[in-house]
Amino acid sequence: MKKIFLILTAAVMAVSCSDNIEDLNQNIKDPTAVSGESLFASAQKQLADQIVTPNVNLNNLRLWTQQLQETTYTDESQYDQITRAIPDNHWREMYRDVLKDLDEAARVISETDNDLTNALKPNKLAIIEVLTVYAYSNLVETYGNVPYSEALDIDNLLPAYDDGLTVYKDLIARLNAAIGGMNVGVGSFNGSQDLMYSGDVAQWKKFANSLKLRMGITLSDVDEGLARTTVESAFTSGVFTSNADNGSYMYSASAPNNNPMNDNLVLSGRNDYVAAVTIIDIMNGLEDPRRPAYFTDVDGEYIGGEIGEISAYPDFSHVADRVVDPAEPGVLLSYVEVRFLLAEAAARGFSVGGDAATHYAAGITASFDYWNVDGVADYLARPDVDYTTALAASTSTPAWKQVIGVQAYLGLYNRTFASYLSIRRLDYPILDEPTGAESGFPVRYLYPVVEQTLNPDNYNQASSEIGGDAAETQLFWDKFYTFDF
Amino acid sequence: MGRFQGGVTINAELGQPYGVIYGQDYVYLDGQKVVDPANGRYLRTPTSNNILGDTNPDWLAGITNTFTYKALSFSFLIDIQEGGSLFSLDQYYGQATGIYANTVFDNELGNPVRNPLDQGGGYINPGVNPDGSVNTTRKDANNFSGFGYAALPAAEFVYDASYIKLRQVSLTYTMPSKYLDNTFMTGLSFSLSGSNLWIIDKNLPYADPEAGLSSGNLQGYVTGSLPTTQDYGFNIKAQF
Repeated sequence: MKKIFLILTAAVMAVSCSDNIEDLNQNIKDPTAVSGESLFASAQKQLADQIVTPNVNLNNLRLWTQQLQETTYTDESQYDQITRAIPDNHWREMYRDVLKDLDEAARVISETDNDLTNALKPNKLAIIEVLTVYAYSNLVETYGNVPYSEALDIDNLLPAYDDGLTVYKDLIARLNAAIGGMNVGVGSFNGSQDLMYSGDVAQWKKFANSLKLRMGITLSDVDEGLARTTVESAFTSGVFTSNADNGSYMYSASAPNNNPMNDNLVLSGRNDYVAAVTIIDIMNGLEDPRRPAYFTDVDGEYIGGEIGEISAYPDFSHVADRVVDPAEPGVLLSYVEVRFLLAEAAARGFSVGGDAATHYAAGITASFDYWNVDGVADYLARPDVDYTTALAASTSTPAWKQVIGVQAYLGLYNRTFASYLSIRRLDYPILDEPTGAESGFPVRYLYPVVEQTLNPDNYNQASSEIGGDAAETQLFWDKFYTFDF
Repeated sequence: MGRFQGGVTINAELGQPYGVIYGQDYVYLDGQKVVDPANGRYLRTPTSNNILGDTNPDWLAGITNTFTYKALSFSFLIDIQEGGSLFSLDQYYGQATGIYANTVFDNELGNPVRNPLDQGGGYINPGVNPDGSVNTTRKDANNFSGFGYAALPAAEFVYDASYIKLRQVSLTYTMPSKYLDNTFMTGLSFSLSGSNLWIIDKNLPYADPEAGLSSGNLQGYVTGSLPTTQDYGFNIKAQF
């Protein structure tokens, strides 16, 4: 025994002597430098999480667009933005967790000087730029004027707000430059760095063009000339052409990298949401074959909760199993969306390789395919679905707004900001007035409370420039409002 | 300095008292609260930078005295805070979910306020409609949003933090020295004491105005506060 102690002591003495005693103080657990690629991956996940999540503290757009309705606590269905500080939370996620990560990723990657990866650098930077434009366009579409030219600067805690339209135009220019800078012959990120397209530059180019298409259409009521050139050049350069092109974040089957729908609706053990009467009524009226793909039934019927009223969970339809599957991809931009945008572009007289009816039918078909639903031919033949007959029966001005608006709404099921954007631009379908609504339909987020209290001068200026910091203030691109509340 | 649930912030802003409370306020028209004629609910400002209160008290005071009779002495301390505001998240949520007694009463029609509107329930918020006419729309109160945060702006849940408390009482018996002559001790006393015995007066319902969320800078926000403990002590002091 004594011998063993002696040997052990000797061994400890032997290894504990070192010439480089400073090395002992190196913290190898907490890295002080981070690669641009991992910041990019992190930004992607944060962006997808924030766009996809149904968390009542982060994103209530499935409620606002009346796809879902709350069971007990109906505040968010009634447009309460303040109790849970939704504008603050979205702002924080987008600026701090998405845009700042992308900004830092771009900085680190451009400073990296490594012969092996240098060839991929321009593509990586272009892809980062595309996601940056995606995030900023979301902020402009959601708030109006936002900090842009002075944003993301740690030395400037009180950034000025930039004019929304000016920012939007600059974003389109940046997108053009990024698209022009992509070289599809060379790779970019690898599969563990890019969790959407595994670094496939050709796919990213389609994504960028599809985003550009959406941004162009968004401007069509405010600057038709720019809208036309933006939309047409995006189409010519090449947008999504099948559901396989969808820009989706690939969630995995196990937490914490599961789809946030799964996290909030299944793993949470909570029963907070049922189907909303608005979407259910539209689908029931059209005998829509997608109902079982979207919702569960109650004794063979699809029933939605009245908007803003308390709804007992067992009495109503809920989201279907696939919607809450942990590995269901989180869609940021989809082919279905693109086809309806093209239909709208054609209806507005832009040249996008086909008439509105063609794109409209293709959008519906793509939606059926995406959800693996049969019977699209019969559905398209219905007089209330067929583009020509539906157009004749439409009550909107112009007539195509209602026709495309309603089918785009159904095609954009489970899409939060995309559906919100579509409803505000097309003003259809007509939504129900929530019982106990706190405001008219909120066509924008309020500015965050922390901006009001900590950045008051710039906040006050932005507020007066957009026409008042209210939920009903229509933003520069949103010229119409059809709801009667 | 801090942002809390309910869109309420505690701020340090130039030209304002340190610790001013901001949040959503009522909408006023000529000094009258404005009611939405569609649902009988008070309108609230979309902005959250309205001054709702100042967490600093106007003044603090303490009254203490000691009465001695023969070997017994009795002392007490009364603490007083006058003024200061605090926001109660307990009231904000609790009134909405109906756990507080002030959400159950018979309305001016003599019916239980929680009846549905078509059975004569609900109540009328005093105020005017946006056009200036006196509000006559009944507000329903037959589900969780009848009162509390879903019906009223944050300004409603800001309370006066004043209080008068019997902070401490003690009763001491000092052993006369003649009993100690034959012992090794030179002094012996026994005392009974109690702290936080009685909140004599306060304006915040169901909670101690001192039981804030935080100590330090973030005063004036009450949430889930526990009842204040009453502490009793027994003390023997021997000198030798």
